[in-house]
Amino acid sequence: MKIRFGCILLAWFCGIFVLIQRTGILGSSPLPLGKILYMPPFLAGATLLGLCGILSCIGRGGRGKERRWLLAAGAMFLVAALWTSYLTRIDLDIVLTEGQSVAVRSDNLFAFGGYAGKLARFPQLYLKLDSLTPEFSADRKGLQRLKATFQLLVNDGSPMRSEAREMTSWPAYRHGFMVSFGTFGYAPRYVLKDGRGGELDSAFVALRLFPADKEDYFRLMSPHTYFIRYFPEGKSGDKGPLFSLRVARNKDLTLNQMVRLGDEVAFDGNRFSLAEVKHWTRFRVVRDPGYPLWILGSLLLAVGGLRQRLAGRRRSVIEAAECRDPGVA
Amino acid sequence: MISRRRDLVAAICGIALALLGAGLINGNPVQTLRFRLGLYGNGERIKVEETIKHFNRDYATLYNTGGPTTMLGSFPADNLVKRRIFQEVRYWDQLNAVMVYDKESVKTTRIDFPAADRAVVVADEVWFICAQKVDTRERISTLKRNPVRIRYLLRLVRGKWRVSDFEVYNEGETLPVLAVNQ
Repeated sequence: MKIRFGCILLAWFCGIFVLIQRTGILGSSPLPLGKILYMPPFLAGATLLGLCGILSCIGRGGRGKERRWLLAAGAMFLVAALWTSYLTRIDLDIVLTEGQSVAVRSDNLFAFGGYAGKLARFPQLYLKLDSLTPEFSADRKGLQRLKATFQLLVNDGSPMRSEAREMTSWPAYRHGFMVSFGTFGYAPRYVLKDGRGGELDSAFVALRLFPADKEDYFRLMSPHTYFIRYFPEGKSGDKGPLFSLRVARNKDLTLNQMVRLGDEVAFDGNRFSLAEVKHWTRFRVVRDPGYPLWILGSLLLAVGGLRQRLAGRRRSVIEAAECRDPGVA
Repeated sequence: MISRRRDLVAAICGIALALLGAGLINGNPVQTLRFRLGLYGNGERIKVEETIKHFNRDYATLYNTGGPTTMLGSFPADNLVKRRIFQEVRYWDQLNAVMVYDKESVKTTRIDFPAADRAVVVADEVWFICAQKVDTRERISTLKRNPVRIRYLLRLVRGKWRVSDFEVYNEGETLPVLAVNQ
């Protein structure tokens, strides 16, 4: 009776907790399920629920012991999967511009956005984006297809593998890693020079400039903010590629004009130009040793649940037959 | 009957615990709930407006006086905003000059709350800007009238609003849609 009470309490707790976090009623924004599962209250609640489930299944006597063991094993695997994922899962967001490469190692793991479990072991991964081919809708405001060619090397002795994939296709799988990508943007290369023409700085900067007319900004070490819009096809009769460039030094607007690719503009004793434009995309690299346990646990629960249901139906058929004719059974 | 009542008690306890757990894990749960239920009163709007006034007053003072560090604690802005301002103030200080920001007008045209702890303020501002020598206050640059439209991004930290970033636009310019992560 106590176990039943605990099961109901914890099931409601987990369900309502997920609902609150998914809707964001008490938080600043709704959270994805992947984040909610690894929050301490949910972890605690789900673990206790799993334990209650196991005790409830194996504590009962009578017929159907095999079915209940199946359910208990399923619950056990799911709890184990939850904790394995929580402690060892890696789920990274890596933004790469065409031609750019990145080596993810244990010592720089936390420099990337995303999640890395406390006990995550990371066998080095090298990722290089060779090219990105977008296909736009007729009005060039939407993305219809995005194809990426990238190279993937995992430190397991196997050779580097080149992958050519669409944004919508299955993730590339290699040595436990699942690599997928999505979103698209333009990455212009800025060149900053001093008043005499000496180059101070130059780099690609990944900005959210798609579709055209969308504005984004970046900052360097100075107090300037560079606001940019990109028009690859040009604007109002002026053939592209064109940029709308605005530079503000704190609240002082020091520059506001349209510039062409390679044009140099001067402000505050500096010269600034946008030399070339490449594409960027966001890769998602996932390695979750808990996945096999999730699958196994779910399968056992499904099979156990199905057998339980079938057994219940058979019992009710027999009972109905017994009611009609007491001599049948 | 008793069993059913016991199940109901268990469900109520589960819901209460879930609310408690979610409340503990999210900062400002009561304020967020008020915001989600549409009960965010005029109070927050006034607080946000006051923060912008305070920010602009301190912003001009920091420039005009060469950036006294005693003001840093009360300046309602994130460290990155403070850093950018101080970087410029120090630049002028090294030239034995100050950049003087003289306010002509600041008119708040719009206040939005994208979340309970986030506010977006659009203001049309006109500032007169010029560089002056520190000792004689002699002008060393032309006086520039700087009419701008500014979009302030604010966040609520420990019950107080502070400016986390600001974007500068031309006077009367249509503002682009705010990026999702802001």
